[in-house]
Amino acid sequence: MSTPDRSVVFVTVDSLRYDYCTDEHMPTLADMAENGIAFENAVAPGPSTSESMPAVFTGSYPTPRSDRVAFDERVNHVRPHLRTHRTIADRFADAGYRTAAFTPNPFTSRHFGFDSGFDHFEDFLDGSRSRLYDRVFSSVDDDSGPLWFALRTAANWLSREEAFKPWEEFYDDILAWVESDDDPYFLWIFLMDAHHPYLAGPGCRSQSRLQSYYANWRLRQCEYEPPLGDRTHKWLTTAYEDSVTHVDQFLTRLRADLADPVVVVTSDHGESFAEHGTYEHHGGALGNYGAQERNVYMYEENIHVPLVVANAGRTGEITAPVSLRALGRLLDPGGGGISVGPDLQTPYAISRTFDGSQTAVRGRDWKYVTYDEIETTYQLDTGGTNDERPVEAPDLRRTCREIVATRRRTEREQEQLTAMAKRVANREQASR
Amino acid sequence: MPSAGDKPVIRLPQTLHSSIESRVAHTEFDSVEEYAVFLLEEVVAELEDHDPDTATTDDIEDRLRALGYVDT
Repeated sequence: MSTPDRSVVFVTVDSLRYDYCTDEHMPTLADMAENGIAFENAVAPGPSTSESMPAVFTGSYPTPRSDRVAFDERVNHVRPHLRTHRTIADRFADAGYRTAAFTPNPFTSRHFGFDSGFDHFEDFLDGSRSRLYDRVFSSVDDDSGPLWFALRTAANWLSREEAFKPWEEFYDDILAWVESDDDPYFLWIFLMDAHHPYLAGPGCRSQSRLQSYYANWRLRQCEYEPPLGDRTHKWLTTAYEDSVTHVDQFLTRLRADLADPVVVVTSDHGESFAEHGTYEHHGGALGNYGAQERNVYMYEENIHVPLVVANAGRTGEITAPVSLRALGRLLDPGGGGISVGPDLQTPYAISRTFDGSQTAVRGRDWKYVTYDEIETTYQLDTGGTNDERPVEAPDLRRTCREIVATRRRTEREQEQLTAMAKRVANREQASR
Repeated sequence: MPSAGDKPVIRLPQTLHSSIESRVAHTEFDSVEEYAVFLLEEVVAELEDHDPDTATTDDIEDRLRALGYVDT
């Protein structure tokens, strides 16, 4: 077995759009891309965290294992998959790396199986409430739920606790873990600072807190559907820009404090700002079946994500589409931590929703989207924007139908293999 | 057991390999090895009795509600 070489830091930023990774909003990330390897057409496997990250970590989409709905279905869909199939962290651990994760996102918590392979896993599920919250809300009875919940959410927004935990709250813990040993490590950090509500830290605000809070509140009140009004929309996008800059500050500090490791930065999915009639990202509608289930989330703002490899001793731009499902090949413990081979690049990458009702086939400068059998083909801008223009392309459409059919055959095959595995195990246990 | 780098090598009968290969050709699996690994991981996980029961916690649901994924 090869011995661990370079340490690797894997940073995923929730809701970070590709077209916001510019000198203007993220100068450190832009510099990392300039001096490292920049993937110009990285594609998220899905338009929300739990539709994307399981495939990022294992290279395959989870097999449906339950017909239960809402939150439980999501857990029953993802957790067995992460427990069953080797994750990126498993492979680094098997190769002798020490491994740690810091993830405030509940969809990438231990409840979803993301702790597999990590020696140290911090998902902030224990003891994450502030003492103030405990004193104020601990005696609330259920009848007062909605009002008190609104107040608690506001308190959390103000105190940046729980799911909105800013990176400053746990940065020292990250460093402490890194410095606890000299052995090479694989470190995964999942940042929520660009996730709605967009509430940047004090050094990043280009507008008043009132404008940001109001815009975020209006977005929730409208259930993420336009229209918000021009002024509120402007305040909202400014709040997002400030949040993205806040993320960049993390990268600045990380780069200053950790000079040795390879650093890989990406996003689990993008974010909408009414370009196509939606805001935020696909909720994965934990049984809600509201606006976030009716609308399409396969647009560039949803699935085109940044992917940058810094400090690997290599530079370059990769323009071919790369699915984040291939990150298991890129993050290679046997290849000195990183392996950028030609097999990473493909003619197209697929993105799909939880139930597969929306599927995108994303080429370098074209895209095909099918949503409940409605098909659309797009010409994409290659100049760094997310512009996409519907075009008639019957030959492309026919070819992409075959690609989607192959995807669906793969899903059915996986379902059959999972069902067979259950039968084999049941028979084996029955025979004991 | 023979090995290829860090991985032990398992030999398959040619007919079995060919059967899997023909299934792989119509899916996104890249190779017979990837298909076989997927299947065997599923079987071993079931045999090792990975706990299929999942539990949600009030904290998880409250956090998801705060993020806007669940109605209040």
